[in-house]
Amino acid sequence: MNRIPKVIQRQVDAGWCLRFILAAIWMASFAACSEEEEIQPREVILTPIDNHTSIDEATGVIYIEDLPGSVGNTVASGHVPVFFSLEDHQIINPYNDDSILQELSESRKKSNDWDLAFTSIYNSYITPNSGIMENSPGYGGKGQGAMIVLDTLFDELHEAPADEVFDSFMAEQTASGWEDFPPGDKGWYFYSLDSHIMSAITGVTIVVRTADGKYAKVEMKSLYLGSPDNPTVNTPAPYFTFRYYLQSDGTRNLSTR
Amino acid sequence: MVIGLNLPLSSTPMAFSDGILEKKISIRFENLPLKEALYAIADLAECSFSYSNTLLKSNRKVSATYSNTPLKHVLADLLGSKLSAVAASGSRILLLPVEGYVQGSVVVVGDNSPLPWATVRLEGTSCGTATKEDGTFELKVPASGTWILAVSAVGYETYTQTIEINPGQTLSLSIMMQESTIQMNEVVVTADKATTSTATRSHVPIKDLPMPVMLVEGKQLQMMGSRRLNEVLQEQTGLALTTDPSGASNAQGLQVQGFDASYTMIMIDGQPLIGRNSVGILDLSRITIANIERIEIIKGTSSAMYGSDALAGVVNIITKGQQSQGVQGIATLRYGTYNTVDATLDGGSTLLNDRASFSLSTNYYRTDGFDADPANPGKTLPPFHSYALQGKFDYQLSTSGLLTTSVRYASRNQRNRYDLDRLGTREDINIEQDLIATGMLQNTIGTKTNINTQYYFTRYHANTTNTDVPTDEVLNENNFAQSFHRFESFAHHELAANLVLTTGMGGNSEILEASRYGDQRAMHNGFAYVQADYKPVEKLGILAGMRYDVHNIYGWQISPRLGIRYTVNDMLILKGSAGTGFKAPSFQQLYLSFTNPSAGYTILGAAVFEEEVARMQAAGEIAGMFPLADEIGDLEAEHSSSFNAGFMLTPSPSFTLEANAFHNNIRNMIFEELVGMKQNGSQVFSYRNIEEAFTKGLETNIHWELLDGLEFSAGHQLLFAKDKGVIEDIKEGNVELRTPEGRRREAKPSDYFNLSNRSRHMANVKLFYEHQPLSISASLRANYRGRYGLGDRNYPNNFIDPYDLYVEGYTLLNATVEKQLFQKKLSVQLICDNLTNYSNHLIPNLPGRQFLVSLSWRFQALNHHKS
Repeated sequence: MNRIPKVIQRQVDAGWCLRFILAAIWMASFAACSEEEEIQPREVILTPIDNHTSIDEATGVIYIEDLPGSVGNTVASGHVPVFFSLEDHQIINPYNDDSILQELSESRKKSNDWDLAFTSIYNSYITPNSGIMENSPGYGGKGQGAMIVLDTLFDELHEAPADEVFDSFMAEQTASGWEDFPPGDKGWYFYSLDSHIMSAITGVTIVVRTADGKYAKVEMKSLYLGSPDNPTVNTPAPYFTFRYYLQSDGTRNLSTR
Repeated sequence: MVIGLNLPLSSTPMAFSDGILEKKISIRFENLPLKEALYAIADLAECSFSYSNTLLKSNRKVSATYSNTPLKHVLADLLGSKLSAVAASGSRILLLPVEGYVQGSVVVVGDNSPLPWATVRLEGTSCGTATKEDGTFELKVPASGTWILAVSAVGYETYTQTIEINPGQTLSLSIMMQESTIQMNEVVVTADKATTSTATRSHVPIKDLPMPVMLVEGKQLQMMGSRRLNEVLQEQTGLALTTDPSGASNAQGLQVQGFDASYTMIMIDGQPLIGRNSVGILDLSRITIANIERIEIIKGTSSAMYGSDALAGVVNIITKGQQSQGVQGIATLRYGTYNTVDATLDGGSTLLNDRASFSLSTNYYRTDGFDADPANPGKTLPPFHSYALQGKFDYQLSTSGLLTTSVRYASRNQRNRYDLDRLGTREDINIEQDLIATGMLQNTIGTKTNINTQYYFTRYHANTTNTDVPTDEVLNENNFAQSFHRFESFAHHELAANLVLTTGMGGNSEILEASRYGDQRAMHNGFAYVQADYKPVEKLGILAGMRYDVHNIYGWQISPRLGIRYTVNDMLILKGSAGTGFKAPSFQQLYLSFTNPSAGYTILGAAVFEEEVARMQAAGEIAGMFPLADEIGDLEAEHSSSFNAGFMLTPSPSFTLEANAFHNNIRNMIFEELVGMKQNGSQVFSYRNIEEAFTKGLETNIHWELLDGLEFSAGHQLLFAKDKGVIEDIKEGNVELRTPEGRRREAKPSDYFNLSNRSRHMANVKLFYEHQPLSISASLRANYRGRYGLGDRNYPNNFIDPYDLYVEGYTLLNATVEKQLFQKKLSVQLICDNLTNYSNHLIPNLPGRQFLVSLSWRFQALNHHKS
């Protein structure tokens, strides 16, 4: 099939090894090459940053794996919205003594400390930090956030679109979750009414303008612990697994080749 | 009861007694082929003949003159030693050929003196003779296979023995008869071999039926060593087990000719089982096969006989009853892997001078279950224990009246305990109870009419709870109680020698009380049907039937069926059938009102949709309804048209090849659709008639008796099953698919694999071996299920494309070895299911390797037989 980048691991402690074998499998599914673009097979080296985070230093792409969201909840009990900073690659919500994620204060919601909010059912709807968009938790703050959901491969998205494209997209929808729900909305996952399982749609990349006006691209992978190929209704969720690239120099260049 | 071509189950040893056989005829043949001679006789005597092809194999030419000679003498003279017995039913005469002989001598235990005038017969047939003065006898056997030979004489215990007759064989026996002492013997239950009652409601040899029929018989069931119904059925050609894709229940349903489990009727003794789960699966693992005599599987629509739910076919489980005179029974204990225990105690006896009989069957089963997917919480096959109890009582009211009653109770208690992430330990408990009661009165009026009147009641109750174990708090409870009453009367009437008419009518009443279905819900249904079994000439059989159903919710349905069987020659039979079937909207599709506690969405049945939406709107739960919501309303029944065509080739008595091509079209399929949005951000669904699909394919089976005692069989099914709407959309270029990497492209027709859960190929190979002298038997069976798709993986395009989630093809091996000891009273069987220990986390219902030991003890005490 396709050429798959060879993954080399740095020598880290034994606990990481297993984790990175999984990461290697994960990356294999991201690997791609197209007829028009000749991509040389590339060695992807993941360097751990913390328990759930690692970085491909060659490209600066951050890999988040099994990061707990508002876990231990059902739809009935509700899921606490999770606020994520792309810059600091972590959740900024407070935790209680039992390591249970807590609501973020209203003042911090209106701050520029976060870039993506994971809201609603199983934290599955993604919303940017916008001070001017009513449906954003950052409404009333200073956030310049916006997003566009594109059917483009992560590795082939080289530049963030113009601001007008962000504006027109945000005029249509302010969050992205279940594909075509509400009808017409562009989602990043679909939910099977047969298996009652959510699956990420491949080839979907979310281009994000951060609270500070920088550009990033995000690819969601799974909300199930361990990202199994056949989660069941009892597989623990939501645990975020995704990767992203933040262009820290403020330009629209999102190339990760 | 003498209907159709069945062997009359008369206990009269000889059959030269019926009217037509005494009819005197005068006829002359000169060098006429035997077959034509029979036609000439049929014309003259106004009768018809039914005979096996082996009888006229040589079709030699005959020359003879008869004048005013009784028909029976003419036949005896013409057919001579080739004829084993003649039986008449009205003007139809059944000629049974000789396939083999049993000869021997009967002596009295002790002094070894010969016993003259003892009756020697084959049970379940009219073939019999009497011993001569020197105690010897010779009995002609009409068909090869397994028979029960019974010898009886006044003052002696009836002696029975199972015999195996091969074509052309002469079996020699020395039989010892005992005076007034009890003798142990084996009981085997295959006397009714190769006939079915499910397809037409009358006993008809399978080869005479135009539709595809499959039989799993007692002997094979025993050699397979299976415990539950799902285990037996998954080894049959073209049948696949399916599970609830949500994993919410572990029910195992049956796929027939590519149809979902909800389209096949599962019956016990001809009456439907109820209690299907939310996706229409009737869990086959609920049913023990401990007291099953045989399983009959009719493929293709049988709605013309059984109405709704028999759209794809019918599986009829025939339970054992009292088989012969006296007290008899069997006790079986199996133990093995996963702490599986399967204990059975069956027994029965004849009463009141053999006018009545009763039988009782009890079964206990338990298992620790299995987890095919250790990475996810909970076992995929949870532990359960189950009890089943069945009692049958038959009473011969008069020579023409038979009363049959039966009561069956079964329960199952399933528990699945697992740890949920940060929510603690949870336990799912599912307690199910089945109750079945039936009473049937059969009356024979004259010689040509048989009336069967029956009342059937069944109730299924399930209580499902989800409990938080530390606090013992019940988080979710679901109660489901369904009752079903049926009163039905049908009659067989022989209008002419070659035309049997079956007419029937009745009514069903179904009542549901369930926590997700609002108040008590009821459905009522009346029906009438007629079927003609017509044989214009002996080579040609026509089976035509039609059923009318009227229902208080979905109106009326007409379901016709037509089948034709043509016997080309001794070796080849052609068969074809066509019919329509329907499936009524289920209680769920009509009345469900369910909000998923973990995902928040709501599903509403079509019949309660308006009122429930109004209620939710008033409560402020609805954010908005989509335009599609206006189209929710009356549901129509789903419809199918079904075509089957095939042949049966028997080039030698030991080899059979059968092939059947099938094509089923289904319209008006009912599916869930998204119709609105709730305030909490989740969805509202309801049901609509939308989809149209087809299943088509080819099924092939061969059966070959390689050596004496060694049987080989193999089967294969090729299947294409697709949604027509999807095919259209793909052709129009409206469908996208995505590779695992995320590349998009337009779908091509060749990307469409099959509907989910449908394999292109399924196959099986089986070897059964029986070494009579050593009483050892063994079986080795391989079952292949080809690759099948499970669901969308990369993109929700609602069809199985090459990049979706698939289960790769796999083969299961099962084997058994059995040794019988102590005059076959004790049997020890070793069972190994899934020899290679194949397991796949995508196949939740497949347990790993299982070893079991089975001990079985048969007992029999024969009553003093009064001739």
